[in-house]
Amino acid sequence: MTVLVFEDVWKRYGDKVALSGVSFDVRRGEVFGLLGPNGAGKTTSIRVLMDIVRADSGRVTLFGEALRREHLNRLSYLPEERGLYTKQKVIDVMVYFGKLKGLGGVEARARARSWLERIGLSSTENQHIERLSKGMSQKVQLAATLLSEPELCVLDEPFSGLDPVNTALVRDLIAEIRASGRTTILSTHQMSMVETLCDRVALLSEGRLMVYGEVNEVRRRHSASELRVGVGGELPELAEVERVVAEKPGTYRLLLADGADPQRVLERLVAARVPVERWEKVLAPMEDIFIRVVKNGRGEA
Amino acid sequence: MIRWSKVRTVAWFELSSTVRRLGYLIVTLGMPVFAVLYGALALIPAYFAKQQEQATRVYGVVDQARVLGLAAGESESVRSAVFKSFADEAAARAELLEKRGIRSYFVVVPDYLESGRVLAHSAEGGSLGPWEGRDELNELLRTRLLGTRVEPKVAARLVKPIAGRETFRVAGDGQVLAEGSDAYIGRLILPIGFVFLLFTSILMSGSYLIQATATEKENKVVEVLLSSASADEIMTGKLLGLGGAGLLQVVVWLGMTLGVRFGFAELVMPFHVQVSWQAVAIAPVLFITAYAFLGSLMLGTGSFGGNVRESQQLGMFWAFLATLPMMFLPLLLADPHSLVAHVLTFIPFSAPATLVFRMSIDPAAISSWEIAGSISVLLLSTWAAVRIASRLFRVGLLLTGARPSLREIIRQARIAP
Repeated sequence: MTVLVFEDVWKRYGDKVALSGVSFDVRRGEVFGLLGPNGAGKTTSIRVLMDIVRADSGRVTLFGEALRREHLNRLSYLPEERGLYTKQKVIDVMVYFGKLKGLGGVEARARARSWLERIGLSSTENQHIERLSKGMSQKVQLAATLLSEPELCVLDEPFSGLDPVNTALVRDLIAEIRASGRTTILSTHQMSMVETLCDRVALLSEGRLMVYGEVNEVRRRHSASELRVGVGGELPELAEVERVVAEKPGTYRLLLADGADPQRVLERLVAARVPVERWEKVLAPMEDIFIRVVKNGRGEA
Repeated sequence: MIRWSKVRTVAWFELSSTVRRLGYLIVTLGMPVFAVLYGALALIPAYFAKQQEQATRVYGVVDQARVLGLAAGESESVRSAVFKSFADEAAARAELLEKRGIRSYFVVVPDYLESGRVLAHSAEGGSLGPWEGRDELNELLRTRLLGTRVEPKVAARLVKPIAGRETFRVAGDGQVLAEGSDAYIGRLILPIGFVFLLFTSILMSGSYLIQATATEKENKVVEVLLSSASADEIMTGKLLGLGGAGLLQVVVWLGMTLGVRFGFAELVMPFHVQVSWQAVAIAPVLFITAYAFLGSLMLGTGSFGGNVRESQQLGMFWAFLATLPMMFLPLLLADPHSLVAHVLTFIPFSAPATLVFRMSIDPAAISSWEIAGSISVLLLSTWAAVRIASRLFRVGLLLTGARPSLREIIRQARIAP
């Protein structure tokens, strides 16, 4: 079941086209990666979704209905460029954000305390934000975002500025959200996190949707040109292979020529009576796909 | 459609966080203390001047025209001034410089009756004006010139033609009502107080509004707010919350002023304050509408600033327009129902103050259609200002980097959610 549908969404600022007919959908309970280089249109997409800016054309459907302001209480947003009221107390800011999402004062306060305990910041409840470290502020903001237990949570670069311990904490929180059946849109430049956390991705570049689909499927689609083989003897000369990288004795990574069929490589090895112990397509890392797609400017979506 | 629960949340947050700020508390409670101290300091020279005025002052007079009828060495008192007669200038000079028995001396020249000339002499290096004591000398000359030439009663009136003043006001129904001679000032207290209150509130609240908005823009909190509430709701909440903070400040100041007024009535406000109840009834409506009108414009334009200072420069432009009626005050005082007054009644920036001004001075001469028309213009303008400002507010808040063209701002504002 889809919670969000973008259909042919366009948005421009002056002469700059921020979104150029972008279409994708996000399914309930998944972690959806919204990827792209800076200026690709990710923030604009999120702002359109959050009803902060309105699209010039196209359709945005949320929870099966056209986007309405009333939906905002069911969403929550952690922006990339974030900040808090530095002169205010931690608890007051969290309660304020909770109340803005429709929680009552008492409930917001109780939830804020519970979240502070969860992220290990109970002792900072009555401290002014300006006295917190950057990492602590980030955690407070993330907790304030999740306070209202939103059905759809949009996290823009939630890992930036966090140390490995806190990165792991945030990663676990996102996993928990998914486990509870709620949906997350994750925008990040950390491709390792995308591979670990995301079910599906949409990669934008210059306002256009370049890559879209399940993470493993996307990686498979972009991995046709690379094989990992384990053989019992010498590797014969193979016409389909452009370059061979020896990973360890008997294991090779084969970079295939354009248009070469990986199946044909296996056939040739068998024909050459080379004992084949391992034969697999190498899944391209998301980082490589990201760089290749953005550099070439050619997508597949 | 505005969701008032969101407005209430924003308003309460803005109000509670502002009134707890140390700077706010210092200004709110410290300003009246400062004003009282300043006033007390200003009263010190006034007190000594009054003491000096009541003390006996001795002047010399050399009557060469022989109109005063005083022999050398004789003295005559007029109120707190004493005029001591000298035979010649040398004797008066010696008294001034050597004995220092007189403050200055006057020479009534021989052809005084023809020329009216009197020569004033004061000591070199003295800080006194040579003509100190002139009023008393005038009175002495008038009294002595009239002498027995006219009846004593006529002479008294010639010396002081208006000795007592009583003031009456003829009401619209022809009834003659007695009032104090300072009643006119009393009638001006309400409108001037209203304009002062409005302007101060707008300045204080406007400053808080712009500061809070610019800080949110700098802090990047604004996107979180806009993802939870609409620009209209945030703006209205801010207007109410920070307006409340500004108003609370003014109420505290007003309370302290009234406390001083009742505590030191004769010293601070020696006249009777008269109010027009129509003006009093309408003033709160006008006050709130005018604040919403100007405050929203200030917020809308202030949101385009890149930082607090820039935002204040952009937003404060509107605050000066609120002082428009003060610029026309002499004209309004001269004729509260002139063409200028009629025009100002229908300009939204000047309507509130002008209306209260006119209703306070002469409530009978302002027609009900004019009151209704003025309020309608103000309400319509406020509605339009809030609508436009909330769109500008949203565009302005999200603006970073280079400022877009006016055309692009209008386009974005038109399609803003």
